[in-house]
Amino acid sequence: MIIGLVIILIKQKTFQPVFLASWEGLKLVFCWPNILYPIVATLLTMIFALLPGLSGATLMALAVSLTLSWEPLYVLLIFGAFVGGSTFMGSVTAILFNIPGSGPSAATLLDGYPLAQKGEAKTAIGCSAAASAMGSSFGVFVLILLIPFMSQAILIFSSPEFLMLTLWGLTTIAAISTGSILKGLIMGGLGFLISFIGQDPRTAEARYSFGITYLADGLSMIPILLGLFSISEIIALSVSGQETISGKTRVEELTGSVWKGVQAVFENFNLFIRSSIIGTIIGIIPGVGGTVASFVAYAQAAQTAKEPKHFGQGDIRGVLAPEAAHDAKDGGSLVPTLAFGIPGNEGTAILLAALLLHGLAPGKELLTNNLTLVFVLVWSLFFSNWITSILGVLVVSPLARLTLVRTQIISPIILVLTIIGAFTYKQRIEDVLLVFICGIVGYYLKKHAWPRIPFIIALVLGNLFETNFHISLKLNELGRINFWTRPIVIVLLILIIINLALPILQSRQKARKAND
Amino acid sequence: MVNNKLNPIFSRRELLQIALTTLGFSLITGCQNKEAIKEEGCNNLAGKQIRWIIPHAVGGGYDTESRVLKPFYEKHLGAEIFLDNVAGAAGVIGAKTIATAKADGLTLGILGASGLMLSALTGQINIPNPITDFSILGRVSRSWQVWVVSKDSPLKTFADLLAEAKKRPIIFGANEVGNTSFTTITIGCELLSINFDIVAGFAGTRNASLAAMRGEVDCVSFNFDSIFELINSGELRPILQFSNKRISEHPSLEGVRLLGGSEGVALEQAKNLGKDLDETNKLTQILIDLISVGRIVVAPLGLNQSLFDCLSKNLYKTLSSADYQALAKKDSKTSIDIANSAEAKANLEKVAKEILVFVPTIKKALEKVRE
Repeated sequence: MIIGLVIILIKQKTFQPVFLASWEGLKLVFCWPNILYPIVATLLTMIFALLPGLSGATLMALAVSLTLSWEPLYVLLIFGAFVGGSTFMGSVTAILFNIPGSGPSAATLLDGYPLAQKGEAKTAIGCSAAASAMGSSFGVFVLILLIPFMSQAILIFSSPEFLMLTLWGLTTIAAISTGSILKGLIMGGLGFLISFIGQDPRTAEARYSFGITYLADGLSMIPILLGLFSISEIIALSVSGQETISGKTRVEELTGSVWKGVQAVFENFNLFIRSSIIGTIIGIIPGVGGTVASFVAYAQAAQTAKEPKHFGQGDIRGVLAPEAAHDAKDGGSLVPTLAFGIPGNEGTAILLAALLLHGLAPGKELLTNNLTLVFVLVWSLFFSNWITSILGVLVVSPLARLTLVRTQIISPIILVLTIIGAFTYKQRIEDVLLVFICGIVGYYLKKHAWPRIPFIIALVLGNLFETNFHISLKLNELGRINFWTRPIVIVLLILIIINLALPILQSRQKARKAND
Repeated sequence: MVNNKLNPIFSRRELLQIALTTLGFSLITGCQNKEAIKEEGCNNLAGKQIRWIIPHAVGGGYDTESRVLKPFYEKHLGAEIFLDNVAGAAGVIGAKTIATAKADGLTLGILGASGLMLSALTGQINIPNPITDFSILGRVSRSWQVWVVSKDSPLKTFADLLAEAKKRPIIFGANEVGNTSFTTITIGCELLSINFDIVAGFAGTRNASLAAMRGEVDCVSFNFDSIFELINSGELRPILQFSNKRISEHPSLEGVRLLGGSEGVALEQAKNLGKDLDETNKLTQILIDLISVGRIVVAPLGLNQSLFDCLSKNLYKTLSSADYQALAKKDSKTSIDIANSAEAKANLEKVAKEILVFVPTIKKALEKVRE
């Protein structure tokens, strides 16, 4: 079906220059010695992404200065690889050690680490690799299709759509709250409150910062995640006396396999497609970012599952959905960057700086006179994603064995890596303190069965919800928008109502069956 | 040396000789010492690592400007510069980080002076003052604001906007209140007697610009460099330049009205409405000076003279160098308007005194948004 679609599109006049440029770009990427550039760039990105406190964005920022005298072709070869190669290694640390390599990897740890605890790290990593590569391919495919229509694609989404999207994400809290829905809602409310610390987005007034500079910009998500999940798990492991992360001591006891993980993507193909669509769309929306894409995809996966209570306990779909979304967003985030010079996230912001310094101004000129170079970037991104996934799969066995290392050895290492990750994030010692506070709180939340995931979802989506709420209300008040004439808003509103009604209907159905 | 019995140990003639010799010696060594002091300062930095704080995220204008400047400044200083993005609270966190660092020449940074001054004006507490809390080393560039509309907007020119403003409020989009764009809109509309409303809270320049492109707001006001890609691609059209003369040779500014100057819209509107022309001219100039005060390079207060001289003089040498300017011009779409330490500081001090006249207008606009 896909091949048929491609053939139909090739025959369309609109797409002929696109496909020609795409072919030329492909040849430029895969010829010798050009191919070396994305390979080396990908390897460097993987190393940077694996080391705590460093990231793909750090490497890109360094590369801007170092490549000032390079030809644009080679700059695009390496920057495409930087954008594409930075996410997967962060997911590996999230799965094995509960340490998110970056914001987008945070959603992966919610089910990835529990899978590692069950001895199924290989399955989780295999699924992550496959979903990552395929999600990226999806995003690139959509990007190619959208090239003639980039402007229209970006302008479809506005504040009311973002508002409904975040509200939809927030309403999935009820669906994924393990144990008591009430506890889930309370944790979601707390996450929301914490997201308000800092500056009011409209009035710039300080809120709940008590004059403390550290709180002036709100609490950073990475230290909270590291504390709530990584430190709390170290405490739990130490208290429980469990011998290893997976509870197993021999290689033979490790269940699962890479191929089981890869298979899971095909067995849940509808979920993969939905998550990739979410990631691509959110990637197109400037400034929203991969973290939101991952969590919204995770939330919709939980909400649409027959047994949502399994999420957070090691459900492979909880790995598949965020991985597909945050790699699909790479293709989507290039849409506003190339069409308008509006970066979708930190990585594309640096990419944009590199483009401008090499005389490649985004917009019509880039997309008509330099379309081949655009495809060099796109194919380099695509290739890089596949390299990281394939390399990740090749080293999955030794990586999975890390879950057999004794707790007395691995816990201090994870502790040190977590502290380094927290400190190097923004070079603030207060972040390390925050990690420990959240770690202790996270341990007690886990011990008394208070769910942490709703807190994180609300924390991630809170600011976005608030900003778009105020803007939407004001625009509505001024008569500039009408909620009821916007189809995407209506569709999302229906999904929200379903999200809210479904748990109630399901519990009534269960009660009726129990009575029968 | 004179003893207590008023019998001089040295005669008057001898004292005069000693005084003249000492004076002469001081003059010679003093002149040499200026260079020696500067040398000493630079020697202290040679081979060391300087932390350069960028108070905004990676990839933005401040970041790109710093990355372009870095290799050239390193060459002149003989030190290594390490760029550190300390973003948050619209640049305030980064500014505070610089202000509270040790004054040893090993922490520098780049600031948007107008943003900080406006934050303080709008009542935000604990905001560092660019003049009194930092050592100003020089100005890297100026920023010029423009009002822009969407290519599909029925408001093709500034005259159209004025005509429309008589029928209904013009809707502007802005990010958080109190920043340069908000001030440009508020004070600009007051000066031009334009009926307006603001939709504030957009997350960044580009999101507000997208709102204009969708037709949700009529107009946005931003730094020309920040939205250049959208202007260059034809998606946004400038209709007013906040300056006394054309800010760039880019064709998009052909025929676009200026706010200030004898042919500017401010004076024209004042004449039409019977306002005091001198007062209007004065306020217009203050506004233009405020928003174009630019990006300055600073160090913590308390640098010793030798370090200050080394850093400021080498910065100016760097900014004036042909190879830096050639590269900076690729990044900047307006003219590179640099200034040395003294000029930059004098400009800031002048603006800081003058902008107090805008406080009541800004406070009124803030209250309206905060309702």
